[in-house]
Amino acid sequence: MRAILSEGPFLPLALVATSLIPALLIFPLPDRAERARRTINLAGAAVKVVLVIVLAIGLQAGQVYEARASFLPGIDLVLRADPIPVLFVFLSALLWFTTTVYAVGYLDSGTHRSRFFGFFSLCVTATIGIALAGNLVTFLIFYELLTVTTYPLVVHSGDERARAAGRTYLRYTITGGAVLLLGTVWLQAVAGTTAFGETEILRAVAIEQPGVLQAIFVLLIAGLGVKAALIGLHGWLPQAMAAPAPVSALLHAVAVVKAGAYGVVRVIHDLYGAPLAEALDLLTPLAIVAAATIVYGSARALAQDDLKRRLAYSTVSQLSYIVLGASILSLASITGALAHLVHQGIQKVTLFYVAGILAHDLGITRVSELGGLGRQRPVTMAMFSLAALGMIGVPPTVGFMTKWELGTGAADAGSTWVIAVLVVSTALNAAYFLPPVARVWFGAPVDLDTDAEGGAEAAGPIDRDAATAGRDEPGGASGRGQRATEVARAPDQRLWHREGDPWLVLPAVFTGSSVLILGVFAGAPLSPIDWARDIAIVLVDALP
Amino acid sequence: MSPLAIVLLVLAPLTPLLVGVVGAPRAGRRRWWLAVAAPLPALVLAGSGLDGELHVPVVLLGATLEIDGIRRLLLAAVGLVWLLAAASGRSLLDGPTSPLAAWGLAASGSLGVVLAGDTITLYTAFAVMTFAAYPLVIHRGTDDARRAGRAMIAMAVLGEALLLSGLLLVTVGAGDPALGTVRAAIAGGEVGVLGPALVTAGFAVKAGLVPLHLWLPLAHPAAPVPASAVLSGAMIKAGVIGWLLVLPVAGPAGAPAVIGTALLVVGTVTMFTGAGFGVLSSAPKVVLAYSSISQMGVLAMIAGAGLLASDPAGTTAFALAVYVLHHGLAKAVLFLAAGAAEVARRRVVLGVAGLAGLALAGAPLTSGAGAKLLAKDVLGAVPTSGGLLTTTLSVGSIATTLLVVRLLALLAAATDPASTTAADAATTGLWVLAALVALVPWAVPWVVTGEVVPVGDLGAVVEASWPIAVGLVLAASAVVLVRRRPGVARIAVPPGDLLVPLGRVGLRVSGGAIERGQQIRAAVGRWRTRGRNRVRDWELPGRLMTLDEQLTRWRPTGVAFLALAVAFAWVLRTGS
Repeated sequence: MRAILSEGPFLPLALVATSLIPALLIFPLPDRAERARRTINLAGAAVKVVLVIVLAIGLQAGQVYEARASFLPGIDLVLRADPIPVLFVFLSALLWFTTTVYAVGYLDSGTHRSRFFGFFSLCVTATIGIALAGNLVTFLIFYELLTVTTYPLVVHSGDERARAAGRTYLRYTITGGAVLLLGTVWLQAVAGTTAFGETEILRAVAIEQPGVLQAIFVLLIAGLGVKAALIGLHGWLPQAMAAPAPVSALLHAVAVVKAGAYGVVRVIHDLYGAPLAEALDLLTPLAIVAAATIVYGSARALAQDDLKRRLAYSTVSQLSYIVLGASILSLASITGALAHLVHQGIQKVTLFYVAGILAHDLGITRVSELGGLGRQRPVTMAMFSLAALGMIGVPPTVGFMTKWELGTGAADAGSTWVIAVLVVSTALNAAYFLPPVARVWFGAPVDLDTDAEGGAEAAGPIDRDAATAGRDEPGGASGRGQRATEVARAPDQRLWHREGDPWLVLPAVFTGSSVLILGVFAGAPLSPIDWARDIAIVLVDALP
Repeated sequence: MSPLAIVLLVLAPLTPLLVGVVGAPRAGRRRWWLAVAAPLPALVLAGSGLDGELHVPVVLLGATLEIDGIRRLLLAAVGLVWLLAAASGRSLLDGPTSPLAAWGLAASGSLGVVLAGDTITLYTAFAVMTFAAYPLVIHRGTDDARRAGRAMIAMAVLGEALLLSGLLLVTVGAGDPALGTVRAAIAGGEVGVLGPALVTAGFAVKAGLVPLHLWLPLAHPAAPVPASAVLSGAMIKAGVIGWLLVLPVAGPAGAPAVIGTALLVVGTVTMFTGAGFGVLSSAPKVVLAYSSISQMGVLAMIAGAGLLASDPAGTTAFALAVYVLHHGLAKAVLFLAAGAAEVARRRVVLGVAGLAGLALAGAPLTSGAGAKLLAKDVLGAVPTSGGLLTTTLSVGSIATTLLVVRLLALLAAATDPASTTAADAATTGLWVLAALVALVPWAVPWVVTGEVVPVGDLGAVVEASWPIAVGLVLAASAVVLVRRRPGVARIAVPPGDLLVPLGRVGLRVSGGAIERGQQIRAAVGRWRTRGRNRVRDWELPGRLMTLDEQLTRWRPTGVAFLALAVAFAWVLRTGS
């Protein structure tokens, strides 16, 4: 234990290896080797969670974890566990674990499962690499690796829609990656370094060449903005909904879009440093772009009937909360931005878990088909509701905590207009998340058989019948009492049977209840808010 | 702070919450006693005489719960309404689903608002109450109920948005979320006007001030009787309690005068509009809803006067709390009497409703008289316009008297004179309620705070009597008028008054945004197509506008790559 905790390259490398090795082991497995694949996957995910906890403890004790290898003359590949990376690695490791459990339940049949899980693990490898990258070059390499490893996941189903989505995805992300590469190369050429956390070098460069640094910043943000789905660069995201639910969950919560937003945070705070970015007049324009994205994403989400598309546009909007918070210079807003990395992750992952469960078990893919599901699957739909309320920012969910921090931060920094953006977005979020929630609990069940696209599996109609039976109002008073006891007793005996596969439901329960618990105890030590504030205090101390 | 106080302070909001969360999954008829028990710890706390403040750093962003004399009085007022409504809550159980979860959450939020010691806790409790009220309103599942629910949620989201932005501004302006600090900062002028104004408006949505009252006349008749009782008796009071807690209503003047003036003006308008629409309504529960709006206008006037006048003795807070207690109980009793109209004896229904109605109008020796005496103290202290304001309040009592007469007439029409045996339990219950409405508003303030609600001298009795006499005369002449000219009787206001002429437009904008996304969707689609066509017509390839589409073709991507390659070459050349 002491050896692991001690400083050095072991932990960062081990964190990458705990998903790289499973990937390499899984690829050669035949599709039917369900048990082996499951064991490898879960073991890797569990070990990673343990390692992250060890890392966090060590970091608290002041240890430095760094793995360095020379790559090109003058350029090293660096993996280093700084405070912001550890927060992101923690989120990735945790949600990777739950999503692996979910994916095992979701892909319980079908072909190419070894391919899927192999790339799934590679995708997480890339995310961990992005998280721990100690300089922009390392970041870029893993960022491109992420692009490449996600493509097979997006097109997994192999149908025309998925392929089209995959092509669009590649076009956007490869172009974005190229722009990022251009920015990185330029920066290396101008400053001689791209290391995170050495902002004084860039500050020296800025005195002579402020225009160049501005241009590089724009390139970097544009490159990252593709994955972070900033307005105008977001077009691939709603199409990528063709991917299977676990992929969407991972894509939206930790991997792809989050990598973009995380990159923006690091460029502002670890590469340029907020004071320099502010001095170069870069932050206000970025905040305006983020604000526009927030409102645009919410407005577009309003018009989607397809559940996953609605969630996708909601992601467009929510991601920009992080960018917005990162581009406002105050303790509270930076806290909000960093905490929202986690908050948005657990909320969105829950929503996609449930969307996947509904599509998988019942063939429900549309908002208009959600009626009456609350009685049918109360636990699952309670988690959906919690996450949706979190997205709106209803207290005491974590989404509210983000909003409060961002709002107070903006007011502190004198950017009162941000509060108006937050409030408009809250109203829009309410307009597209409250109706589904109300429909789930108070709406009448929709008859899927009349629906052309209702691909309900065998279990679907039976479940629906059960729900309708529970809903019937018997005529006589005595009959009512009897039926009432029946209905009251039913959940006890068949709750888990009704909720469906625990492999699918338990991850949703874990993340969904976190939305509430982490919100109610937001002031507790080690809550995302508390953690984020500790990091933000250090960042803000560096401000002039 | 004593351990007992801490335990009670935590249990008061937590018990209803647990009732809602734990009781809900297996809720049935037999579990409804949980709802009755839910407000009991709060009532014990109210009667305990304990003061104190509890800070729990790990909850929310550092939650604070506070209890003092005024809050105990408010807690008693709100808690009694929840207790009373739950005890008579049988009719709630007739629906397809059990409302226990929503009931518990709403009660928890409603009591939590009273105890909140910082802006975040206050907003949280307020939001929980607001959203939990939705299932109660739509409980019957009828089209009317759903329409009311939509209007309510749309208004609630508006209110939450105003409130959130206001609370953010005042919290940052004060530098601390503690409500005491916030009040002092607002009074000291350190916060500016915008934040306090937004907070005032946000709470005004809940309080139902004109023109933000639109959801109330829809929600009340649609909701089951006990839900209407808590809505009018407890939940809309959260708006007033919010003003009292966030704005420097009590204490020395110093707050932005514009807010005080606005509350006075809007309160006056609300008092008269509410009563006027109420008289012209034709269902008992709608009349009662408008009466609540009217009475909330009075409370807004008191709060506004408190902001304008210097009030070192703290009369304003006491006056507001007593008025909340008096109106909450009277209104809850009136709703329950209206709900019992079809089963209980006519005599009893009219007797109980008449008693509560007299209190509402402020007849001498009723709780209303005491509450209005206190209110007049506060209003009279407003510089330059005090006399005018107290007279306005008396004129308001005339309107209330008319409204009560209208209500009694409608109830008389609704009751069945033949009903004698069926509902002896209901009849007994109503007498208990009548005793409550007569005694509690006098007893509770004395028990809770040691302060006495004034009965007034002979002059006060006269002062309280003449508006009622005038009201009765007017009512009598109206009856005569209707006899002679039957056409007059057809003048009626549909529930939701302005919503109806504002019409479907209003609902589409507010409620429609919620559930009729289709229409907006279609409009957005048309707008987009039109935009696209326009761009195409201009032969401007629209690369900026529809970047999404353009990027889905290969050619632009190729061009982009070429450009990038050139850029790379340039960068590498200049850099090295």
